[in-house]
Amino acid sequence: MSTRVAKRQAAPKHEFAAELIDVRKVYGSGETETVALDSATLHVRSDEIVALIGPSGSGKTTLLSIAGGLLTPTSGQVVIGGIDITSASPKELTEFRRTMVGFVFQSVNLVPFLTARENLLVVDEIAGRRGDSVKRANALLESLGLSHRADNQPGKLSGGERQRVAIGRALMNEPTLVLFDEPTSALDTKLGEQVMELIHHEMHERGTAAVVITHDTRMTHYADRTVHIVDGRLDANS
Amino acid sequence: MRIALRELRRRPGRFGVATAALAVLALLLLFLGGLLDGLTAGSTGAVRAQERDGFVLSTSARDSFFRSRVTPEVRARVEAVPGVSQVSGFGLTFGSAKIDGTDTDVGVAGYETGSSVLPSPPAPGEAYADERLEQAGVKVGGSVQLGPATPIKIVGFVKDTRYLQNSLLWVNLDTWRSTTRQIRPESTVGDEIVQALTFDVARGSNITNVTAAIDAATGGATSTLSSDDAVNATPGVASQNSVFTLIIVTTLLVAALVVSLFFAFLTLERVPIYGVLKAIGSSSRQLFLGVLVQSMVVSIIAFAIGLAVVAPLAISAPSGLPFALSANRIFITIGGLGSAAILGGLVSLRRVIKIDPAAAIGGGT
Repeated sequence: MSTRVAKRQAAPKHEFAAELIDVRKVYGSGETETVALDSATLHVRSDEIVALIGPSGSGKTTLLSIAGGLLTPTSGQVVIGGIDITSASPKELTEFRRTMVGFVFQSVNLVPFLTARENLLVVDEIAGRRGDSVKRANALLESLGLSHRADNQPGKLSGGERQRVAIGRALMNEPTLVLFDEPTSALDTKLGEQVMELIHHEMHERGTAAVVITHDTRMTHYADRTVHIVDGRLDANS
Repeated sequence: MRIALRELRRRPGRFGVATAALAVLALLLLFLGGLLDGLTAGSTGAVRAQERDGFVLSTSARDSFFRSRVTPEVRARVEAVPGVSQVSGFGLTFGSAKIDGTDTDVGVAGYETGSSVLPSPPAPGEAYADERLEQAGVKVGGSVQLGPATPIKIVGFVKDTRYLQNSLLWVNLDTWRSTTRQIRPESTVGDEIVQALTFDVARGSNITNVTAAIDAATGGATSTLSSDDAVNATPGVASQNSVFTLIIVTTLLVAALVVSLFFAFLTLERVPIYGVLKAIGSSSRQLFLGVLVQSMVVSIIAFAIGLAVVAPLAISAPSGLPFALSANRIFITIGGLGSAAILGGLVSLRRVIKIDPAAAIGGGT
């Protein structure tokens, strides 16, 4: 799969950034079997922001994890940026995550002893990419309004600034798809709206697809489309 | 790896406790190693200083120079063995001398062939003295008198030539025999008789084969030792080595335990951030290399602190303290500590591999 990942750079942009087809995920077996996702089908266009809404335990995180190559489905097919990762090995999934997707986690989780700039550069360090890393990191920080905070460690940043750095980190590898796990849950409404506004702006400006998990229905208008998930099942026409 | 180094640089306090504990262990390792080397050097200098390939003792001596006697007939047979070259006689007697008003244990070593350490044997009645005797007050041109023996004139000093912690006077074989007769009448040997023979192995011959050939040629009357075996046969050296080695290995295991506990704790604390790093594409190998780099750097810094404390002791050690810090010992200690760091770091490997990147994102539902 890594060869296909390498070829991605030259390949034309696909219509869909993510295609999850009839995906099922089952945890445990026998009496302890839990169906987290059941016949889930989701198509995300290459420049589309999809908000994923559902109650706790509905399978949102499982869906996001499968789309991001953190989990493999029990059955079904997962194609991200034209690459089928359904049966990719753990090593191939690691390479896939380095190059194809970006993550923004609920609890931010920046590396605490690295500066804002270094938290972005860590993505390229992990992938062994050299060259214009610093230039791209600086451009991202500027675009996110964080140039003046580039040399500050996370401990000296506000919650909103930390979340913006996390967004920068997710965009550092120029991904096909960015996955947001409740990016506003730790922020107050005003800050949450600013972050969603930023996500909306950055994704559309870059033509990058995104799936945003959120509990907050007030944030869904920043997405192009909202998909509901209940008991592992998605809305029809998703 | 760069992340790991940045953490060391920016949060040195986090590694302070482990560094301090390892520095104490490094200091202990260097001190114990220095003591072992000092004791060994003080016990075996006389054997090493001759720089010969092997030593021939009588079988009944059970590898002790003091009990050994080698006759001219045996010497002739040894000289005739193919592969043996430059056979010389050697003899050793311990006594006591009053130096600067203090009774001091001094040995008299008779020899025939010089080396890079020992000049050719001096004239009758003269000796080269071990440098430790210079520290005790002996001077070139002065003399040392052992008991009732004729005083021996000192004509120079030699380094690292002691035997069983006694400083020696290096004399020719006739002076050794006459001095022995005067201070140890019961150990007197006849003319031409020596306690041991020293020899070199001719080019193209092998020491193992030559030692076996010598013992065969003397009909089992001799016990021939290579130079290394002669060093190890020095009374007390083997047991001293095994005791110190045991303590040093135990200390290294404690160092490995300190590293393993410390980094196991750090890894446990880092599980969430490692999960995130794995989620964004870091491999277990990259994360584990970071742990190893940190454990190695902590160990190297600890070693440097230990060396900085021990080095002045090596330079200014009082003459009574058998302490010698060699480059070899420094390399052995840093190698041992490095191995302990790797071994300790390995304990975290399983935990790093087990970290699930999926845990970084929500609760898994």
